[in-house]
Amino acid sequence: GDAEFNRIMSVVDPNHSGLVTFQAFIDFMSRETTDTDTADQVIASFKVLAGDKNFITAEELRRELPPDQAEYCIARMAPYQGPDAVPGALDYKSFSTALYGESDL
Amino acid sequence: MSNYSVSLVGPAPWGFRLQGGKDFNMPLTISSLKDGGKASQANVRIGDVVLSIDGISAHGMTHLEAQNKIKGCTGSLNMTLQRASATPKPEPVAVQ
Repeated sequence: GDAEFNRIMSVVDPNHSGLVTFQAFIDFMSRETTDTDTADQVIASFKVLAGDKNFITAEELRRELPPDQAEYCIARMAPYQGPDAVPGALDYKSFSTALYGESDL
Repeated sequence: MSNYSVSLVGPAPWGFRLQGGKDFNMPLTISSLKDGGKASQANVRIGDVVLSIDGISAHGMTHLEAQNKIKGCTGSLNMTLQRASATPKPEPVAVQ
């Protein structure tokens, strides 16, 4: 339990700053997950930032990502149109698959 | 060159994976099909190139543009595709 937690923390926060950057998080998720599909890894990462929702909001992106990355995502993400959509919901899944040029439609 | 059109009846999912786009320097192609999915039932095949989506030429579309165009088709999805053809066998040459 604790040993695993300390191992993970030393990987994502090597400087013991108490902060985990998005890049460190992505790198960690890429190494640790067994998914061979890299688009799925990006989707899983966004899902964490979105608090497990199927969509993310511009507010959450601006809060969690560096400004230029947040604006890049916000400009390109299509509006999310699932049954649980709210105004301003963004579709991070389609955005992630488009990054790798492979989308399931 | 064998082009054909399909009109898939909605709603999505259409049962295919789209690969490529201008930003990947690859033509928009069908990279996989879901067994029994709408695309597969319409006789779309892996390797077929998407030429137009909803009457709009797919030439020069980025992956995101093509994806959004397809997602914008709710009632039905109309596409023209180019069949991925096998290279024809050369005619046998009689040995003299």
